[in-house]
Amino acid sequence: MTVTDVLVAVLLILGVGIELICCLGVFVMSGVYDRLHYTGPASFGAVLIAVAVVVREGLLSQIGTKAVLIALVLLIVSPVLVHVTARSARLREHGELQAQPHEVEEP
Amino acid sequence: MNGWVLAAIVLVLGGLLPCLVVSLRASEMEGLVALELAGVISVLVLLLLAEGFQRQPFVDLALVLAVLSFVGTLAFVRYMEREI
Repeated sequence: MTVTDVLVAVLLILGVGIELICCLGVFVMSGVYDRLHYTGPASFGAVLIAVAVVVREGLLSQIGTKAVLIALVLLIVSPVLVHVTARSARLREHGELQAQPHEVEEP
Repeated sequence: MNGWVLAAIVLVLGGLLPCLVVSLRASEMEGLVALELAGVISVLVLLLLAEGFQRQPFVDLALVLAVLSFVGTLAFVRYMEREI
């Protein structure tokens, strides 16, 4: 077992572990906003798995380049999705984005 | 069966199944959150399978799914803003 094998195994286990924790969080929590907190870190697990692929195959291989591309897409897209989903949930709940009377702190 | 395929199986059983349960049992918006996470997990499963079976061109599927699941979720979010 070479150093590369160990590194790939560690990255793979960490990546899959992060994904499983995210899924567990979404499964256990209740409410849209609590569940949303666990969808964000999923892209970091994707980055670890993509790095594992790159370590195994090299950056310039076909799968290595595309794994990096996938990790980049997920990293950029994930915060956007969390934001629009929270916004949409808020709009669906109250019909507007403004603070509700009971949410405003009295001076 | 190598480590990549094993990781893909673990992700399907431990990742996609909970998302499916949440989608079926929770409210609509919570189901949408589970769908987002299921999209990321599916992309990773395709990536791991392409590497595990040494079929490198198949990684295109994962890349296309990553982009399309984003667009699909945006469309869902747009229609979920108001009660229909």
